[in-house]
Amino acid sequence: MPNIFITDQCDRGCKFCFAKVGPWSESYPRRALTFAELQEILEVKSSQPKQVMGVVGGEPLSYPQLIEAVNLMREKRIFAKIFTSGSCALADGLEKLKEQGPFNFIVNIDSIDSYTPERRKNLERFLRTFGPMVSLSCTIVDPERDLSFLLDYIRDYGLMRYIRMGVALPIAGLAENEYIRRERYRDAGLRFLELAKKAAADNVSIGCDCGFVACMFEISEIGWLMHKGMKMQFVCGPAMDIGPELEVWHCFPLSRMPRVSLRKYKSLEEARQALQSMADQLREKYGPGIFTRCRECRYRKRGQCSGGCLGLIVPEQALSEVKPKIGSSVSQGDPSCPISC
Amino acid sequence: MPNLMLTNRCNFNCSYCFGQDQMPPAVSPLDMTRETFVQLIDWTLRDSSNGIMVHLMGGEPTLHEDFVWMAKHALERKCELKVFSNLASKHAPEYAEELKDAPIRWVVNVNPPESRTKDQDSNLKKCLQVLGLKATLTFNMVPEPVAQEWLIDLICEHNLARDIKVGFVLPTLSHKNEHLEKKDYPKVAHRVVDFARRCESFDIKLTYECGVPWCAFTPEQMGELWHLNSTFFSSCNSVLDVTPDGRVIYCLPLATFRSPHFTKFQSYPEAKGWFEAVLMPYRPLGSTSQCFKCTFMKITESACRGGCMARVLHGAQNVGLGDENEKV
Repeated sequence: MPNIFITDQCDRGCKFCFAKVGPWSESYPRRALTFAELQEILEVKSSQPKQVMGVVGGEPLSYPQLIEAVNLMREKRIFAKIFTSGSCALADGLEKLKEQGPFNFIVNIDSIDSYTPERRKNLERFLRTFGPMVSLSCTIVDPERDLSFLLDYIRDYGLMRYIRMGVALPIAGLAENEYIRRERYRDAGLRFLELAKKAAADNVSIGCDCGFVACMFEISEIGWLMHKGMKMQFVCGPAMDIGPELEVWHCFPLSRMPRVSLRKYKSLEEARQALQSMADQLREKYGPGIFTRCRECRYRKRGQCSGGCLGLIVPEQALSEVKPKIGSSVSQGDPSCPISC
Repeated sequence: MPNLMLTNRCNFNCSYCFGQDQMPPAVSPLDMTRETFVQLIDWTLRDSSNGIMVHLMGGEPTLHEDFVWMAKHALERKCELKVFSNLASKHAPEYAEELKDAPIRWVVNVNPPESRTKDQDSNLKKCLQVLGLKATLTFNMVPEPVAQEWLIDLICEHNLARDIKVGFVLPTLSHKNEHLEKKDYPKVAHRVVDFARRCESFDIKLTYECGVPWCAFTPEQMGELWHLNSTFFSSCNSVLDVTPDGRVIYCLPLATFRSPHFTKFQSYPEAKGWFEAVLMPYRPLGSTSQCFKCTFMKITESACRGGCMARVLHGAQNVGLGDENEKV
């Protein structure tokens, strides 16, 4: 599922945010999408099957024409998944969105005591307004931290019974954000498992976003998690964030890698292949995975695990050395990258 | 993306066949006409927002004298084509030869070798030799244990796609066919895991047909299947079937449930939406008394659903079966 990077504006300032650097440069200055660009993206998308798109930022709720954007997506029969903090001030009239489904909000959330009083008020109002249209997303930054508060939100506000869990990922080659070091991956896996046990008892499913690796878990744990309905996946592929000028980048950890233009490629699939080909080149040279043991790992060889996020192992200067290719030599990756699920 | 049932005739008479409520002798033999086929392709393409995949099936589709014409017509209309066949019919080798270079995936249902005549066996192997990687085997687990190594042999000898689709034989709504009972699941699950172990050493993975409840496997078995690259997944979210006379059914086990004519729907997605709405009230029932309190079923509404709907509806009271003229 590709994402429309609708705006670069965000007032949240999460320390783990991997979007804070982005693909911006002198030749590609940071800005929000124009509405004309949005229409152009939707024209390309509406010609494809599987009509689901993420709307990401920045903070999409700060985009002045969000209501028009959602209406346009609905007209094109594209299901929108809007990624938000849920804690910014709601623009006037945004409540109207409630009647304009179908779409859903994915709220990246933290424990309630981490918000300022004003943000807490905004968040509570947002969850009360959009409750059943909201699923939660949470990023594991500190594996020591208990995550049970997520289940409280679901109970208290009647949210969708699914949580998308991420691990905090670095921006390749840069030390700009907080992320989980490789030596803490097993601890993060145990934290995920602990939450899953509580979630199962509450009839809530949790799933893995990008960056999880199979060896964060024992085989018996993977079996248990799957048996309880948790969505386990360890495969990485282009998230495909589409920004101004219809430029597409692989994902935020690799946002400094060359972009491809939707105006140049005939379809989203071709653009995906071009991005995947560059990730393949990096993985071949610097990988295959985040651990040395990935080289011999049966799960990686069989495509069950990609070996983790390239952001952890690729130096910044390498990002500009790769060139896009399309064709049969490009690996599949995971065409529906879990980042947007 | 419907399954188009080109004919309800078949060259086998499998005791477990879950299509038998839709096939002779339960109903008269019937082949789809070219006219109906063309109309159905138009209907399918009317709303291609979910892709333009078309599946050709039977009965045994290669018994239809217009099989090649129909396949070529669908390809000319830019459909992505998948054929479900046993490839053991008299004309199958000739058809496979003619279509070998076409972009078609072949899903080949096979039973143990002793169930095939010498000619059927020869036809099957000729086809597999021609189709190679374009062919994927599918195999049904019956209550009694049967040998399975021959599947690995077929794949290796003919260089077929290295995955096997495993079905747990499902009941029809009438439950007249041979099918697995709930008590059979643990031992069949054990056999599946055992087979997955043997397949792994040949770099072959198992995938699974619909209708298998997740509780058939233990968490340990789930973990081992993942480890063996044969991760278990099964749901009940069927691709709709269209019978030779153009009636839409949810799936073969539910052939006697509801069957409006395809012309009553504007498009395939509309028909699919209608069936899902009709089935929705029955979904939470599950197939056993345990399903009602199953955490897994509540968590993954789109996954388990308590196994095959034919089993769920068989146990339900006052199921509305509709008729040919029902309004949709």
